[in-house]
Amino acid sequence: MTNKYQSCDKTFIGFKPKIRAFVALTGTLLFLSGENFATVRNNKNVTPENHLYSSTELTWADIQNRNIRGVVKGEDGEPIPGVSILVKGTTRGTSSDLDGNFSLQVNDNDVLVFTFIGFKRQELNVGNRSVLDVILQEDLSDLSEFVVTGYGVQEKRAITGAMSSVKGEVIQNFPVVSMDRALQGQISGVNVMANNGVPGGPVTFQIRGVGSITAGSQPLIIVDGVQLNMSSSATNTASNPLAFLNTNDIESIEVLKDGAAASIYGAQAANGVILVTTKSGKAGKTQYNLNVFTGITEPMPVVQMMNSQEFFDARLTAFNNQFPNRTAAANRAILLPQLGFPADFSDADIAALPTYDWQREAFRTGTTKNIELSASGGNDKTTFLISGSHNYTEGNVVGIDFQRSTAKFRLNHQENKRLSFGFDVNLASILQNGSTGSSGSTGAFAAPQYSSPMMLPWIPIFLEDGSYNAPVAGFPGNMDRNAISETLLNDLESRTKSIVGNFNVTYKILDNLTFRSFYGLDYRVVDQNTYTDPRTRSGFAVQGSLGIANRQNVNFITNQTLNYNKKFDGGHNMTVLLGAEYRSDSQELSSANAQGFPTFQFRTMQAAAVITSASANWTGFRRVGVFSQVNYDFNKKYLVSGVLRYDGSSRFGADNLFGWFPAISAGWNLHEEGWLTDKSWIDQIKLRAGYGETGNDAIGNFDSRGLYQGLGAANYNQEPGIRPSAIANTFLRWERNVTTNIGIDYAFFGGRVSGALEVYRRLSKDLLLDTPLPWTSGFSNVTQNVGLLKNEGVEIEIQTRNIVKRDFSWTTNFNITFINNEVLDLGGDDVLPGNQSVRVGYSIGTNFTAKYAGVNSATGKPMWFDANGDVTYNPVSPGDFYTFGNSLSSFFGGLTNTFTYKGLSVSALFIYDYGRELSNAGQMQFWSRNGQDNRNSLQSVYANRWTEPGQVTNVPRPIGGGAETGARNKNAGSSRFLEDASFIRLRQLAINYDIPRQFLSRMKLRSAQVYAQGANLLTWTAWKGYDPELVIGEGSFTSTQGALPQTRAYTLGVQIGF
Amino acid sequence: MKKNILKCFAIGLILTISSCAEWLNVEPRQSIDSATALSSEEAITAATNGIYARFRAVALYGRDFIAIPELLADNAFNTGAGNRLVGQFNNQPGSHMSNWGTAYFTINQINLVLKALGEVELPTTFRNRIRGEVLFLRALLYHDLARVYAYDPTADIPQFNNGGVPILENGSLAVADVIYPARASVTEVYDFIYSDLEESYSLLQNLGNQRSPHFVTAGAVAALFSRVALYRGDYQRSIVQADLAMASGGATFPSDPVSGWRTPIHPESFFEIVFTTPDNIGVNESLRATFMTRNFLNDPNPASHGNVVFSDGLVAAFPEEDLRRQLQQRGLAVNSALTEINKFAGKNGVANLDNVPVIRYSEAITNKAEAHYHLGQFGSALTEINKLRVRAGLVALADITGPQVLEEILAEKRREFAFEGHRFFDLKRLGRDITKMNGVLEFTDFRVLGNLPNREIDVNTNLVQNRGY
Repeated sequence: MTNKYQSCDKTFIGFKPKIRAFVALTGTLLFLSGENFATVRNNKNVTPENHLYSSTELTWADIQNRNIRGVVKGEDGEPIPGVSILVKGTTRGTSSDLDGNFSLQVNDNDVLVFTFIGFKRQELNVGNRSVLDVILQEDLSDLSEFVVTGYGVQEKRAITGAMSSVKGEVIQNFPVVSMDRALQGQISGVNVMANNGVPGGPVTFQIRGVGSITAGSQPLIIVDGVQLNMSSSATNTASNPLAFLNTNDIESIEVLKDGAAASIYGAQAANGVILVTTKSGKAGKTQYNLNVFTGITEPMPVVQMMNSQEFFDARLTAFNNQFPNRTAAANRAILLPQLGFPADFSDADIAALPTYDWQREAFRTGTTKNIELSASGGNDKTTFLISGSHNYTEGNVVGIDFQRSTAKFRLNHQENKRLSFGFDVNLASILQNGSTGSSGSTGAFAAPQYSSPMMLPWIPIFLEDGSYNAPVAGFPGNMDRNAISETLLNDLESRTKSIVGNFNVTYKILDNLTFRSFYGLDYRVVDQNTYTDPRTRSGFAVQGSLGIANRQNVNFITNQTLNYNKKFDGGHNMTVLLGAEYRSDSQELSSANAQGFPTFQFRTMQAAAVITSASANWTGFRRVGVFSQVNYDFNKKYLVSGVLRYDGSSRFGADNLFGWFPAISAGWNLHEEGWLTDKSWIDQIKLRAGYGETGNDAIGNFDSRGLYQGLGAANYNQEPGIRPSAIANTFLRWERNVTTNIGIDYAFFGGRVSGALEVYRRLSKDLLLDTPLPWTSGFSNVTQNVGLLKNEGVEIEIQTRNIVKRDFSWTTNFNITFINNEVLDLGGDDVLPGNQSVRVGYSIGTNFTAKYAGVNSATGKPMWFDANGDVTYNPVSPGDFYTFGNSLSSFFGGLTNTFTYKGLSVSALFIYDYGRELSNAGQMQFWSRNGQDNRNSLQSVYANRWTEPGQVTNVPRPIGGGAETGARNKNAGSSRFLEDASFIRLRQLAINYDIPRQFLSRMKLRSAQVYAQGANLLTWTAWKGYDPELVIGEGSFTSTQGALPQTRAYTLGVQIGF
Repeated sequence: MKKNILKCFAIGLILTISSCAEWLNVEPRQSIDSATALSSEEAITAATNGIYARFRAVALYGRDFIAIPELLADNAFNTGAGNRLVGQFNNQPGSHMSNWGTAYFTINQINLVLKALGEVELPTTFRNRIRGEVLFLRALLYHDLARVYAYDPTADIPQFNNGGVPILENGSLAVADVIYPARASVTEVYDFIYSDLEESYSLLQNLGNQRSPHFVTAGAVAALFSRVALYRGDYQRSIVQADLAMASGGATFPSDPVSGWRTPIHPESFFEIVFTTPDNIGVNESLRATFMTRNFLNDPNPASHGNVVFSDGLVAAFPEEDLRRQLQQRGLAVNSALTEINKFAGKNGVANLDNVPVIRYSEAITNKAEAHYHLGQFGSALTEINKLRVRAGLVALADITGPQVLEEILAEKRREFAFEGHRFFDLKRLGRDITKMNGVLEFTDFRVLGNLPNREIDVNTNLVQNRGY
């Protein structure tokens, strides 16, 4: 959002300080080296109104080669450091200092050119002035902005690949704990979906669709040059390897979407690349920032279940239908003890049963708090930034929370004009508490989100004395334990400590030849502790159990690069990048499980009676590669870029370790053409076209190897055993993505309307496919290179500045992505053997299941269609199954409207996702049981159940066990449970107020702001579960069973600068 | 200077690349390369342990081969608690045994060991012992596959007979080794089992009983052979093999039917899968948890679902005086009105940890009795069956002939092997309809045979699915 403070912020620190420093540095160095400063596009916007200046009297002596001085400020009156000031047509020039001051030797007839990224270029005649105060206007179209690209930065206008950026300030203070969640709806082409609602939980990222069937769609995520290991963090809690980063420490996020942009990362970039740049210090008086927010988190609406009497009715009917040969009285006498009642429990007794709302106790309103303090400063040689933060966020289900402390330190030092180095470290300590099964889909009775709706409704949650009703003997019925009380008694925690840091040295061998040496580390230690209290039903039988696990990830990366740039006469410019990179990633895991604890107070391993198992293992991979990029432009009008990378991965077969990854792209800045320069309403039209190849090696570390493994499961009679664990495939090679992209960047009416349009095709070849083998071979599957997959799409980004007045503005950001996925080839098969959802001619994730034909109105029995379209009671897989929709989005995006009035700004982000058809069977087949066993079901299922012949309904009659004789289970997966997961959501509502300057100076503050934010406030959807924002088919998220819904949050905060 | 630097850099890159392949050398640490894994006596011993360990799987003798035949037939009732094995109790299409995958994984391990035994220099006794043991295990697996997925030779329905199961004789280590076999005929499968058992017996017969019952000995081979022969209708053979088993000394026949279930090792076991502390299947799927609400015999509090309990019919099958009623008890809490078996009541001393007898002395007796019956030797049949009856406190039978003898043998077997995984297979191989609490499963119903895993049909187009699936 934009507001007065932040626009001031933008002027002041909003541009990535690193880039600003870089630009300032480059400008200075280029000046010193006698080169022309980068050609800047023709000034078309400077009119006399655009700049203000004052002049004083001057004397005759000043006229020839005299000194001129002045201050460069923004429209808000804040000085701008680092502005390049050149005498037009010469190499003479300077740049403004920290307070915006400059001075320069000039002649009367000189023209001074002021340039600075993010601002419009200005040319001013010196005339007879000796003092020249300049006010630079913001360049709303941001054409001259620099963005981070692979191994460097590049001027946005010179970029020929497809990429998008998000500024840190856009996601600032949004009450989610990892930055990936905050990106939802912000970038076209990037589909972000949180796997479930656990704070700090995993998020599924898809850049330009799903480009792989089994090797994953996880993009490469790089934080300040360090390629993160995204494989795993804790496994007992829902965890996210990106949670180590405080979202407010982020300066900017760049997404490299097509092959042309991403192929510099070669073998790792098939799913796109996300570059995260964290904040840097800035020179000047040390600035402190304090930011605090606090608020509440809230669950989504609960679902309506049957009351006690409705359940009884359904259950008795189901039992009678299952055992028709016995009398109803006999059935009732058998059933009642199962439900915990005496066999003579009367109808009146049943009518008198209470109904308790277990969901209300399981889902709760929690709190969230966040505090941050940072200091940033330095001088023209050394800058630093220190920041620390603490976040505590409670989940929407009892027992779930997230706690994180972070510390960041960044130091940049310019030793001399040749040598500079930087050091950056992000430390984080995360403590997550979870409930059973909160790390994925679950059917665990001890999982409150799963079991609470299905509890027999007359069972009280609390005893009369207020304590939990949780007998170790268990409740009657299927849901036999008090999951709420168990969650509170048990320990289920993960403690993650992480260091992500880097050290880099840059040496200018020549003015236009730079060598950079980079070393990065992503180190993570995860401790997991899962203690089942002996006082709980789950732990009682074994007198308590404990599982501990320790995981260490060491991920080291280094790259060495040479950067060369050269300007030739006539406007030809060239830059060359040469580099080599090595990455080594290893993971060690040790774990132990035990049971038998004297009392519940003993919760550590040493007190256990029996160590039931212990294990340790190691795994790792390495990659090595060399790469080169050549960029050429002619007057920034015609642009060409070529990339070549040669990469090897230890994961592949001995015969195919290495692969080549080339890319070529070109751009044409049409607005630089003479025939368009007179169209003053056109700021920019750039055409881009690119082709690139990237690789994917996201498979198991030893998938190409045939292995015998030693493991506990192979031991017999306490003697060691081994067994084959993997079948050999030495031919395994790179999965290859080939992207072609055509794009247009546009800006009109002085930046009032701007954006980009991308059209692309992404072909994924030689898919690394987990190909099933017949079990008769002794193995389940092998990774093979099979198949061809296509993603095609259109991405549109539009930013409009609808109203720009002095006190009031209204801006709109809109993006939409249309995407189509199709499997083109599966090595000769029409269907992926063993996975019916992957079919040639269809999208990945196509729903393939029995077609529900409703209920036989004469008998109440459920029917399906067979292959001929006739009704059947027992459809056979796959012969009688049909294809339906698919689980991928057809289109998605976001819409942000921001209104600013003086210091007050209001911003609303709506996100939308259309076209996902998900099987809700995981949840609904339990919620639709309707008395088939002793667990509660949906009230709507009860209300619509078949009760008498002739009744037309979709809900079959209750039947014990769920299946009519010889028929398919009524709740088995079928089109009955396919649901439209499309939704529109008011994702974020933010209100900011800047305390006016006059109050600030009285309080000796630099800035102050109060703000309020809301997350997930409104949702429109047809989804029948808690919430449609969930992911199926990623890791432990296998179905909607026990899915933990998203959280709503409201926060209030204050941010103070001094 | 510029050029030199570039040159140096280029040379550096070339050097880097040339050593790249070495940089990429990452070796796993808890695994070894399969091509050379089985090259020593120790490695082959470990690989053989890895074969035995498979039999602990829930899909084999960890639970399914003990519990599911009771549910598919008329012995067990499923309370629905815990939601496990409900489909099997309802004879829902597709809810059957599912040993296909685990069995073939194990068969591959066996075939790889057999190959290594032929290639590696080894002491003869060691070679013979391992070969004899794994051939028995392969025969057991094939027989279990055959009786789940195919009709038995004694009760075929030719028009619905889609064959036996595929026979794999060679192991796979690399993708190039993988074949896509069709189903062999039932006769071919039984021939194969016979040949394995015959060779196994000849290799083990002089090696003693020291490794009994947790490893294979000659007695186990003979006992299994008597079972297989009975399934094949090869009754004389069944009698001969039963006698060999009983004479082997690999197992004993205690004088009471209960005490054997109260010790970790059942004295009747010719072959028994051992469970040690790390092998605990846990509170959800272990036999103890499946059959009992208690952890141990006399626990006052319920600890698990105990969802598979006696059917009304099985309770009624035990006369008042039958000593084997001591192996039954009323459950706790929701099972307080139901009868549970306590053959697997934590007899190893740890909850959920019970060794599982695969074949025991009493079966040699019932196999022999039934074989005699089929040969019309009713007197000999009664002599055998009376051993069990008398031991259980029932009166000895005399003066009955004809089909009634078979009924008594089946009734006795139902009592003796209650909750040991025999009932369904016995009724199936005799071609009988199964009358259950919740309806009748006719022998001609397609649900009598298990369905081959759909993914196998998808992957291997040479396989023919069973009727109805």
